[in-house]
Amino acid sequence: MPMKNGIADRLHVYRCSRCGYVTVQVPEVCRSCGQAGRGESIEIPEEGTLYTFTVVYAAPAGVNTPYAIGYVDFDRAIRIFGRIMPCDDLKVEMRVRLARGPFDGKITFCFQPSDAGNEGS
Amino acid sequence: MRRVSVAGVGMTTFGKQPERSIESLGEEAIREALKDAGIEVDRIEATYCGNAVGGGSVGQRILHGMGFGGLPVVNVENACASGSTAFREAWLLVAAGIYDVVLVLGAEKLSNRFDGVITLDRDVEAETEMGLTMPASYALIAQRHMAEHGTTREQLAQISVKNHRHGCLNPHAQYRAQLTPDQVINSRLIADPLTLYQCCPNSDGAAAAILVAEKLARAMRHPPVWVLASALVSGTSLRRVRDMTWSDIAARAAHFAYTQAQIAPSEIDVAEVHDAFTIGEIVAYEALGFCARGGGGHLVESGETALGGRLPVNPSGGLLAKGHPVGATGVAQIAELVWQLRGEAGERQVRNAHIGLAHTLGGGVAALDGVACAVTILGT
Repeated sequence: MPMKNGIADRLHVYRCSRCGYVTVQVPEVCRSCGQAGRGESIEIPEEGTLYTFTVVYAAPAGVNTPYAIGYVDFDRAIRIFGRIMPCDDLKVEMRVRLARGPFDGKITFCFQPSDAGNEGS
Repeated sequence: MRRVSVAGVGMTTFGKQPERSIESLGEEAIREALKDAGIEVDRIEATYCGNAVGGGSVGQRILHGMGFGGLPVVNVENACASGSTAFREAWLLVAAGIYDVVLVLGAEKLSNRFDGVITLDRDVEAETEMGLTMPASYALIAQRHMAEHGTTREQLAQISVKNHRHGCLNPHAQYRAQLTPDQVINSRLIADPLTLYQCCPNSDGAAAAILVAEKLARAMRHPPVWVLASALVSGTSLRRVRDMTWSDIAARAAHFAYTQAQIAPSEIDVAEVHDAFTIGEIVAYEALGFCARGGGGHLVESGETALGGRLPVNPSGGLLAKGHPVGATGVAQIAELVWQLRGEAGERQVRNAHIGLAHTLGGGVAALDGVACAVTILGT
Protein backbone atom coordinates (compact mmCIF):
# COMPACT_ATOMS: atom_id res chain seq x y z
CA MET A 1 0.00 0.00 0.00
CA PRO A 2 1.39 3.45 -0.85
CA MET A 3 2.43 5.72 1.99
CA LYS A 4 -0.26 8.28 2.76
CA ASN A 5 -0.17 10.49 5.80
CA GLY A 6 2.49 8.24 7.23
CA ILE A 7 0.40 5.13 6.97
CA ALA A 8 1.68 1.90 5.46
CA ASP A 9 0.34 -1.48 6.51
CA ARG A 10 -0.03 -0.47 10.11
CA LEU A 11 -0.93 2.89 11.57
CA HIS A 12 2.17 4.62 12.84
CA VAL A 13 2.22 7.98 14.50
CA TYR A 14 5.01 10.31 15.47
CA ARG A 15 5.39 11.48 19.04
CA CYS A 16 7.43 14.57 19.86
CA SER A 17 10.44 13.77 22.01
CA ARG A 18 9.96 16.96 24.02
CA CYS A 19 6.22 17.53 24.58
CA GLY A 20 4.62 14.24 23.56
CA TYR A 21 2.48 15.78 20.81
CA VAL A 22 1.36 13.13 18.36
CA THR A 23 0.70 13.36 14.64
CA VAL A 24 -0.06 10.85 11.89
CA GLN A 25 1.69 13.00 9.31
CA VAL A 26 5.46 12.77 9.13
CA PRO A 27 6.50 15.98 10.88
CA GLU A 28 9.49 18.15 10.08
CA VAL A 29 8.96 20.00 13.31
CA CYS A 30 6.63 19.53 16.25
CA ARG A 31 3.48 21.56 15.58
CA SER A 32 2.91 21.95 19.27
CA CYS A 33 6.24 23.00 20.77
CA GLY A 34 8.48 23.69 17.79
CA GLN A 35 10.95 20.90 18.54
CA ALA A 36 12.88 19.96 15.40
CA GLY A 37 12.76 16.43 14.02
CA ARG A 38 10.04 13.88 13.54
CA GLY A 39 10.22 12.41 17.00
CA GLU A 40 9.58 8.82 17.89
CA SER A 41 7.65 6.58 15.51
CA ILE A 42 5.17 4.43 17.39
CA GLU A 43 2.50 2.00 16.35
CA ILE A 44 -0.86 2.79 17.83
CA PRO A 45 -2.55 0.19 20.00
CA GLU A 46 -5.16 -2.00 18.37
CA GLU A 47 -8.08 -0.59 20.24
CA GLY A 48 -9.00 2.91 21.27
CA THR A 49 -11.86 4.95 22.74
CA LEU A 50 -14.15 7.21 20.75
CA TYR A 51 -13.57 10.62 22.39
CA THR A 52 -16.23 12.34 20.29
CA PHE A 53 -17.88 12.03 16.90
CA THR A 54 -20.50 13.52 14.63
CA VAL A 55 -22.56 12.16 11.78
CA VAL A 56 -22.34 14.60 8.88
CA TYR A 57 -25.43 15.08 6.70
CA ALA A 58 -24.45 18.24 4.82
CA ALA A 59 -21.14 17.90 2.99
CA PRO A 60 -19.44 19.46 0.00
CA ALA A 61 -20.70 18.38 -3.41
CA GLY A 62 -19.48 14.95 -4.45
CA VAL A 63 -19.08 13.54 -0.94
CA ASN A 64 -21.55 10.77 -0.04
CA THR A 65 -23.57 11.37 3.13
CA PRO A 66 -24.19 10.53 5.83
CA TYR A 67 -20.78 9.69 7.19
CA ALA A 68 -19.26 9.78 10.65
CA ILE A 69 -16.02 11.41 11.75
CA GLY A 70 -14.49 11.59 15.17
CA TYR A 71 -11.49 11.64 17.45
CA VAL A 72 -10.20 8.37 18.88
CA ASP A 73 -7.97 8.24 21.95
CA PHE A 74 -5.38 5.53 22.49
CA ASP A 75 -3.99 4.88 25.96
CA ARG A 76 -5.18 8.39 26.92
CA ALA A 77 -2.04 9.69 25.22
CA ILE A 78 -2.67 9.69 21.49
CA ARG A 79 -5.66 11.27 19.72
CA ILE A 80 -6.32 10.55 16.06
CA PHE A 81 -9.00 12.00 13.79
CA GLY A 82 -10.69 9.73 11.29
CA ARG A 83 -13.80 8.33 9.71
CA ILE A 84 -15.93 6.04 11.87
CA MET A 85 -17.69 3.25 9.97
CA PRO A 86 -20.49 2.37 10.00
CA CYS A 87 -22.09 5.57 11.27
CA ASP A 88 -25.05 4.06 13.15
CA ASP A 89 -25.37 3.67 16.91
CA LEU A 90 -22.15 5.45 17.77
CA LYS A 91 -21.56 6.52 21.35
CA VAL A 92 -18.95 8.65 23.03
CA GLU A 93 -16.47 6.45 24.95
CA MET A 94 -17.26 3.31 22.93
CA ARG A 95 -14.32 1.05 22.03
CA VAL A 96 -13.21 1.21 18.42
CA ARG A 97 -10.48 -0.42 16.37
CA LEU A 98 -8.56 0.46 13.26
CA ALA A 99 -9.69 -0.87 9.88
CA ARG A 100 -7.69 -0.60 6.67
CA GLY A 101 -8.93 0.93 3.44
CA PRO A 102 -9.03 2.22 0.87
CA PHE A 103 -12.64 3.16 1.43
CA ASP A 104 -14.20 6.22 -0.17
CA GLY A 105 -11.81 8.26 -2.31
CA LYS A 106 -8.87 9.39 -0.22
CA ILE A 107 -9.89 7.59 2.95
CA THR A 108 -7.16 5.05 3.71
CA PHE A 109 -8.20 3.97 7.19
CA CYS A 110 -11.14 4.23 9.52
CA PHE A 111 -12.28 3.17 12.95
CA GLN A 112 -14.99 0.61 13.62
CA PRO A 113 -16.87 -0.18 16.81
CA SER A 114 -15.04 -3.12 18.41
CA ASP A 115 -18.21 -5.16 18.82
CA ALA A 116 -19.11 -4.87 15.11
CA GLY A 117 -16.96 -6.11 12.25
CA ASN A 118 -13.92 -7.13 14.25
CA GLU A 119 -12.39 -8.52 11.10
CA GLY A 120 -11.74 -5.11 9.59
CA SER A 121 -12.40 -4.83 5.89
CA MET B 1 -1.58 54.10 26.64
CA ARG B 2 -4.33 56.65 26.02
CA ARG B 3 -7.99 55.96 26.64
CA VAL B 4 -9.97 55.38 23.46
CA SER B 5 -13.67 55.90 22.87
CA VAL B 6 -15.98 54.39 20.27
CA ALA B 7 -17.48 57.68 19.08
CA GLY B 8 -19.73 56.40 16.33
CA VAL B 9 -21.07 53.14 14.92
CA GLY B 10 -23.16 52.09 11.96
CA MET B 11 -24.21 48.98 10.12
CA THR B 12 -26.28 47.83 7.20
CA THR B 13 -29.07 45.34 7.55
CA PHE B 14 -27.57 41.85 7.40
CA GLY B 15 -28.96 39.27 5.00
CA LYS B 16 -28.77 37.94 1.50
CA GLN B 17 -28.35 41.05 -0.64
CA PRO B 18 -26.96 39.71 -3.93
CA GLU B 19 -27.97 42.87 -5.80
CA ARG B 20 -25.75 45.10 -3.64
CA SER B 21 -21.99 45.48 -4.06
CA ILE B 22 -19.58 45.26 -1.14
CA GLU B 23 -18.70 48.90 -1.93
CA SER B 24 -22.30 49.97 -1.47
CA LEU B 25 -22.66 48.01 1.79
CA GLY B 26 -19.40 49.41 3.15
CA GLU B 27 -20.26 52.98 2.24
CA GLU B 28 -23.62 52.77 3.97
CA ALA B 29 -22.02 51.55 7.20
CA ILE B 30 -19.30 54.22 7.08
CA ARG B 31 -21.78 57.05 6.46
CA GLU B 32 -23.92 55.86 9.38
CA ALA B 33 -20.90 55.73 11.69
CA LEU B 34 -19.69 59.19 10.65
CA LYS B 35 -23.16 60.64 11.20
CA ASP B 36 -23.38 58.90 14.55
CA ALA B 37 -20.05 60.37 15.65
CA GLY B 38 -20.96 63.76 14.20
CA ILE B 39 -17.78 64.11 12.12
CA GLU B 40 -16.93 64.44 8.45
CA VAL B 41 -15.01 61.83 6.49
CA ASP B 42 -11.93 64.10 6.26
CA ARG B 43 -11.33 63.69 10.01
CA ILE B 44 -10.33 60.04 9.50
CA GLU B 45 -6.57 59.48 9.70
CA ALA B 46 -6.44 55.74 8.93
CA THR B 47 -8.73 52.82 8.17
CA TYR B 48 -8.64 49.18 9.29
CA CYS B 49 -10.90 46.92 7.28
CA GLY B 50 -11.92 43.37 8.20
CA ASN B 51 -12.84 41.05 5.37
CA ALA B 52 -12.36 37.31 4.94
CA VAL B 53 -13.24 36.22 1.41
CA GLY B 54 -13.64 39.41 -0.62
CA GLY B 55 -10.53 38.91 -2.71
CA GLY B 56 -8.36 41.67 -1.29
CA SER B 57 -8.15 45.44 -0.93
CA VAL B 58 -11.76 45.71 0.18
CA GLY B 59 -11.02 48.78 2.31
CA GLN B 60 -9.53 50.73 -0.60
CA ARG B 61 -12.33 49.66 -2.92
CA ILE B 62 -14.99 50.92 -0.52
CA LEU B 63 -13.23 54.21 0.30
CA HIS B 64 -12.44 54.84 -3.37
CA GLY B 65 -16.12 54.39 -4.13
CA MET B 66 -16.80 57.24 -1.70
CA GLY B 67 -14.27 59.45 -3.46
CA PHE B 68 -11.95 59.21 -0.50
CA GLY B 69 -8.43 57.91 -0.91
CA GLY B 70 -4.82 58.49 0.01
CA LEU B 71 -4.79 57.63 3.71
CA PRO B 72 -3.33 54.49 5.28
CA VAL B 73 -5.68 51.56 4.74
CA VAL B 74 -4.94 48.17 6.24
CA ASN B 75 -6.97 45.12 5.22
CA VAL B 76 -7.23 42.51 7.92
CA GLU B 77 -8.06 38.80 7.53
CA ASN B 78 -8.52 36.62 10.61
CA ALA B 79 -11.42 34.40 9.50
CA CYS B 80 -14.60 35.16 11.48
CA ALA B 81 -12.59 37.42 13.80
CA SER B 82 -11.41 39.67 10.93
CA GLY B 83 -13.58 42.62 12.00
CA SER B 84 -12.63 42.21 15.67
CA THR B 85 -8.98 42.08 14.73
CA ALA B 86 -9.36 45.26 12.65
CA PHE B 87 -10.97 46.89 15.70
CA ARG B 88 -8.10 45.83 17.91
CA GLU B 89 -5.43 47.11 15.51
CA ALA B 90 -7.21 50.47 15.27
CA TRP B 91 -7.57 50.67 19.05
CA LEU B 92 -3.85 49.91 19.53
CA LEU B 93 -2.82 52.77 17.26
CA VAL B 94 -5.12 55.33 18.87
CA ALA B 95 -4.18 54.13 22.35
CA ALA B 96 -0.50 54.36 21.42
CA GLY B 97 -0.90 57.96 20.32
CA ILE B 98 -0.20 57.40 16.63
CA TYR B 99 -3.64 58.52 15.40
CA ASP B 100 -6.54 60.41 17.00
CA VAL B 101 -9.37 59.30 14.70
CA VAL B 102 -9.47 55.88 13.03
CA LEU B 103 -12.20 54.17 11.03
CA VAL B 104 -12.83 50.47 11.63
CA LEU B 105 -14.72 48.76 8.87
CA GLY B 106 -15.97 45.22 8.41
CA ALA B 107 -17.59 44.15 5.16
CA GLU B 108 -18.46 40.85 3.51
CA LYS B 109 -20.49 39.43 0.67
CA LEU B 110 -21.10 35.72 1.10
CA SER B 111 -24.32 35.21 -0.87
CA ASN B 112 -22.42 34.86 -4.14
CA ARG B 113 -19.54 32.87 -2.59
CA PHE B 114 -21.00 29.92 -0.70
CA ASP B 115 -24.02 27.72 -1.13
CA GLY B 116 -24.51 25.45 1.86
CA VAL B 117 -21.83 24.40 4.32
CA ILE B 118 -18.49 26.14 4.47
CA THR B 119 -15.72 23.59 4.28
CA LEU B 120 -12.26 24.00 5.69
CA ASP B 121 -10.47 23.77 2.41
CA ARG B 122 -7.54 26.14 2.71
CA ASP B 123 -4.67 23.84 1.86
CA VAL B 124 -5.74 20.29 2.27
CA GLU B 125 -5.50 19.13 5.85
CA ALA B 126 -5.90 15.50 6.86
CA GLU B 127 -9.12 16.25 8.77
CA THR B 128 -10.64 18.05 5.78
CA GLU B 129 -9.82 15.19 3.45
CA MET B 130 -11.68 12.89 5.80
CA GLY B 131 -14.79 15.07 5.75
CA LEU B 132 -14.49 17.72 8.46
CA THR B 133 -16.71 20.73 7.73
CA MET B 134 -17.23 23.91 9.73
CA PRO B 135 -20.51 22.76 11.35
CA ALA B 136 -18.98 19.33 12.00
CA SER B 137 -16.11 20.88 13.94
CA TYR B 138 -18.68 22.39 16.34
CA ALA B 139 -20.80 19.21 16.36
CA LEU B 140 -17.77 17.26 17.64
CA ILE B 141 -17.62 19.64 20.61
CA ALA B 142 -21.38 19.34 21.13
CA GLN B 143 -21.38 15.53 21.23
CA ARG B 144 -18.67 15.45 23.86
CA HIS B 145 -20.35 18.24 25.84
CA MET B 146 -23.57 16.21 25.88
CA ALA B 147 -21.80 13.04 26.98
CA GLU B 148 -19.56 14.64 29.57
CA HIS B 149 -21.69 17.46 31.00
CA GLY B 150 -25.20 16.18 30.31
CA THR B 151 -26.03 19.01 27.95
CA THR B 152 -29.24 18.21 26.08
CA ARG B 153 -30.54 18.77 22.57
CA GLU B 154 -33.23 20.95 24.13
CA GLN B 155 -30.61 23.17 25.78
CA LEU B 156 -28.76 23.52 22.49
CA ALA B 157 -32.04 24.46 20.81
CA GLN B 158 -32.73 27.06 23.52
CA ILE B 159 -29.75 29.10 22.29
CA SER B 160 -31.32 29.35 18.84
CA VAL B 161 -34.80 30.03 20.21
CA LYS B 162 -33.49 32.82 22.45
CA ASN B 163 -31.36 34.47 19.77
CA HIS B 164 -34.15 34.34 17.18
CA ARG B 165 -36.51 35.90 19.74
CA HIS B 166 -33.96 38.69 20.23
CA GLY B 167 -33.49 39.02 16.47
CA CYS B 168 -37.20 39.80 16.09
CA LEU B 169 -36.48 43.05 17.96
CA ASN B 170 -33.52 44.06 15.78
CA PRO B 171 -34.29 45.90 12.54
CA HIS B 172 -30.81 45.01 11.22
CA ALA B 173 -31.31 41.25 11.66
CA GLN B 174 -31.43 38.79 8.78
CA TYR B 175 -34.08 36.60 10.44
CA ARG B 176 -36.91 38.21 12.35
CA ALA B 177 -39.04 35.17 13.10
CA GLN B 178 -39.59 33.30 16.33
CA LEU B 179 -38.72 29.62 16.44
CA THR B 180 -39.98 26.97 18.84
CA PRO B 181 -37.62 24.40 20.38
CA ASP B 182 -39.36 21.70 18.32
CA GLN B 183 -38.83 23.63 15.10
CA VAL B 184 -35.12 23.93 15.91
CA ILE B 185 -34.69 20.28 16.92
CA ASN B 186 -36.71 18.98 13.97
CA SER B 187 -35.08 21.09 11.31
CA ARG B 188 -32.77 19.31 8.87
CA LEU B 189 -29.71 17.62 10.40
CA ILE B 190 -26.44 19.23 9.30
CA ALA B 191 -23.94 17.51 11.60
CA ASP B 192 -25.51 15.63 14.49
CA PRO B 193 -26.62 17.07 16.93
CA LEU B 194 -26.59 20.38 15.06
CA THR B 195 -29.65 21.03 12.91
CA LEU B 196 -30.13 23.74 10.30
CA TYR B 197 -31.58 26.29 12.73
CA GLN B 198 -28.56 25.84 14.98
CA CYS B 199 -26.21 27.03 12.23
CA CYS B 200 -25.77 30.70 11.34
CA PRO B 201 -26.60 31.77 7.80
CA ASN B 202 -24.24 33.04 5.11
CA SER B 203 -24.91 36.79 4.95
CA ASP B 204 -23.99 40.02 3.21
CA GLY B 205 -23.43 43.18 5.23
CA ALA B 206 -21.10 45.78 6.61
CA ALA B 207 -20.48 47.55 9.91
CA ALA B 208 -18.28 50.49 10.89
CA ALA B 209 -16.97 52.18 14.01
CA ILE B 210 -15.09 55.41 14.62
CA LEU B 211 -12.44 55.28 17.35
CA VAL B 212 -11.19 58.54 18.85
CA ALA B 213 -8.58 59.49 21.41
CA GLU B 214 -9.73 60.62 24.85
CA LYS B 215 -8.92 64.26 24.16
CA LEU B 216 -11.56 64.28 21.40
CA ALA B 217 -14.04 61.90 22.99
CA ARG B 218 -16.17 64.43 24.84
CA ALA B 219 -16.49 66.70 21.80
CA MET B 220 -18.35 64.02 19.85
CA ARG B 221 -22.11 63.80 19.38
CA HIS B 222 -22.57 61.11 22.05
CA PRO B 223 -21.03 60.57 25.49
CA PRO B 224 -17.93 58.34 25.29
CA VAL B 225 -18.09 54.56 25.27
CA TRP B 226 -14.62 53.56 26.43
CA VAL B 227 -12.61 50.59 25.23
CA LEU B 228 -11.76 48.99 28.58
CA ALA B 229 -9.96 46.02 27.03
CA SER B 230 -9.17 44.47 23.68
CA ALA B 231 -7.52 41.06 23.67
CA LEU B 232 -6.56 38.79 20.81
CA VAL B 233 -5.06 35.29 20.83
CA SER B 234 -4.63 32.52 18.29
CA GLY B 235 -5.45 28.85 18.69
CA THR B 236 -3.54 25.75 19.70
CA SER B 237 -3.48 22.25 18.27
CA LEU B 238 -6.39 19.84 18.57
CA ARG B 239 -4.18 16.91 17.55
CA ARG B 240 -3.54 15.87 21.11
CA VAL B 241 -5.44 14.63 24.11
CA ARG B 242 -7.25 17.63 25.56
CA ASP B 243 -10.68 18.62 26.84
CA MET B 244 -12.47 19.73 23.69
CA THR B 245 -15.51 20.92 25.65
CA TRP B 246 -13.38 23.70 27.10
CA SER B 247 -12.81 26.66 24.77
CA ASP B 248 -9.22 27.24 25.75
CA ILE B 249 -8.71 29.90 23.09
CA ALA B 250 -11.64 31.94 24.44
CA ALA B 251 -10.61 31.44 28.05
CA ARG B 252 -7.13 32.77 27.29
CA ALA B 253 -8.51 35.82 25.44
CA ALA B 254 -11.00 36.47 28.24
CA HIS B 255 -8.28 36.26 30.88
CA PHE B 256 -6.26 38.95 29.10
CA ALA B 257 -9.34 41.13 28.66
CA TYR B 258 -10.57 40.88 32.25
CA THR B 259 -7.06 41.58 33.54
CA GLN B 260 -6.69 44.58 31.27
CA ALA B 261 -10.10 46.02 32.19
CA GLN B 262 -9.66 45.06 35.84
CA ILE B 263 -13.16 43.72 36.07
CA ALA B 264 -14.71 40.36 36.89
CA PRO B 265 -17.09 38.35 34.69
CA SER B 266 -19.88 39.10 37.19
CA GLU B 267 -19.62 42.79 36.32
CA ILE B 268 -20.61 42.28 32.67
CA ASP B 269 -24.10 43.65 31.98
CA VAL B 270 -24.52 42.56 28.36
CA ALA B 271 -22.54 40.37 25.96
CA GLU B 272 -22.38 39.61 22.26
CA VAL B 273 -20.78 36.20 21.75
CA HIS B 274 -19.87 34.11 18.75
CA ASP B 275 -22.88 31.82 18.26
CA ALA B 276 -22.02 30.64 14.75
CA PHE B 277 -23.44 27.33 16.02
CA THR B 278 -25.52 26.88 19.18
CA ILE B 279 -22.85 24.93 21.06
CA GLY B 280 -20.47 27.84 20.44
CA GLU B 281 -22.50 30.09 22.73
CA ILE B 282 -22.66 27.41 25.44
CA VAL B 283 -18.90 26.86 25.54
CA ALA B 284 -18.38 30.64 25.37
CA TYR B 285 -20.47 31.09 28.56
CA GLU B 286 -18.06 28.78 30.35
CA ALA B 287 -14.83 30.18 28.93
CA LEU B 288 -15.92 33.77 29.60
CA GLY B 289 -16.70 32.90 33.21
CA PHE B 290 -20.46 33.44 33.00
CA CYS B 291 -20.98 30.01 34.59
CA ALA B 292 -18.97 27.07 35.86
CA ARG B 293 -17.20 24.66 33.52
CA GLY B 294 -19.80 22.36 31.97
CA GLY B 295 -22.68 24.56 33.10
CA GLY B 296 -23.45 26.33 29.82
CA GLY B 297 -26.50 24.23 29.02
CA HIS B 298 -28.04 24.95 32.41
CA LEU B 299 -27.30 28.66 32.06
CA VAL B 300 -29.32 29.06 28.87
CA GLU B 301 -32.10 26.92 30.31
CA SER B 302 -32.30 29.19 33.37
CA GLY B 303 -33.26 32.14 31.16
CA GLU B 304 -30.56 34.32 32.71
CA THR B 305 -28.96 34.99 29.33
CA ALA B 306 -32.22 36.08 27.67
CA LEU B 307 -33.39 39.69 27.55
CA GLY B 308 -34.79 40.43 30.99
CA GLY B 309 -32.35 38.00 32.62
CA ARG B 310 -29.29 38.64 34.76
CA LEU B 311 -26.83 38.75 31.85
CA PRO B 312 -28.47 39.03 28.42
CA VAL B 313 -26.29 37.43 25.74
CA ASN B 314 -26.71 38.29 22.07
CA PRO B 315 -29.55 40.82 22.42
CA SER B 316 -28.87 41.62 18.74
CA GLY B 317 -29.95 38.11 17.75
CA GLY B 318 -26.35 36.97 17.49
CA LEU B 319 -24.91 35.38 14.40
CA LEU B 320 -27.78 32.88 14.34
CA ALA B 321 -30.53 35.47 13.77
CA LYS B 322 -28.78 38.72 12.93
CA GLY B 323 -26.62 36.94 10.32
CA HIS B 324 -22.91 36.38 9.83
CA PRO B 325 -21.21 38.37 7.08
CA VAL B 326 -17.89 37.06 8.33
CA GLY B 327 -15.64 40.13 8.16
CA ALA B 328 -18.40 42.47 9.39
CA THR B 329 -19.46 40.39 12.39
CA GLY B 330 -16.92 41.61 14.95
CA VAL B 331 -17.59 45.27 14.13
CA ALA B 332 -21.36 44.69 14.30
CA GLN B 333 -20.92 43.19 17.78
CA ILE B 334 -19.19 46.44 18.80
CA ALA B 335 -22.04 48.48 17.28
CA GLU B 336 -24.60 46.52 19.29
CA LEU B 337 -22.68 47.02 22.53
CA VAL B 338 -22.35 50.75 21.87
CA TRP B 339 -26.11 51.07 21.31
CA GLN B 340 -26.79 49.02 24.44
CA LEU B 341 -24.41 51.05 26.60
CA ARG B 342 -25.85 54.34 25.33
CA GLY B 343 -29.40 53.14 25.95
CA GLU B 344 -30.28 53.36 22.25
CA ALA B 345 -31.14 49.70 21.60
CA GLY B 346 -34.90 50.23 21.44
CA GLU B 347 -37.08 47.20 22.11
CA ARG B 348 -34.06 44.99 22.81
CA GLN B 349 -32.49 47.40 25.32
CA VAL B 350 -30.80 45.76 28.31
CA ARG B 351 -31.64 47.80 31.39
CA ASN B 352 -28.83 49.58 33.22
CA ALA B 353 -26.13 48.33 30.89
CA HIS B 354 -22.78 49.93 31.75
CA ILE B 355 -20.26 47.26 30.79
CA GLY B 356 -20.46 45.11 27.68
CA LEU B 357 -18.32 42.27 26.32
CA ALA B 358 -17.87 41.03 22.77
CA HIS B 359 -16.38 37.61 21.93
CA THR B 360 -15.52 36.61 18.37
CA LEU B 361 -14.00 33.29 17.38
CA GLY B 362 -12.52 32.71 13.96
CA GLY B 363 -12.11 29.15 12.73
CA GLY B 364 -11.04 27.44 9.56
CA VAL B 365 -7.81 25.57 10.26
CA ALA B 366 -8.85 22.02 11.11
CA ALA B 367 -5.92 21.24 13.38
CA LEU B 368 -6.52 24.25 15.64
CA ASP B 369 -9.16 25.07 18.25
CA GLY B 370 -9.52 28.39 16.49
CA VAL B 371 -7.69 30.74 14.17
CA ALA B 372 -8.20 33.79 16.35
CA CYS B 373 -10.28 34.78 19.33
CA ALA B 374 -10.95 38.39 20.25
CA VAL B 375 -12.53 39.58 23.48
CA THR B 376 -13.39 43.26 23.77
CA ILE B 377 -14.82 45.02 26.81
CA LEU B 378 -16.54 48.40 26.53
CA GLY B 379 -17.82 50.61 29.33
CA THR B 380 -19.46 53.98 29.89
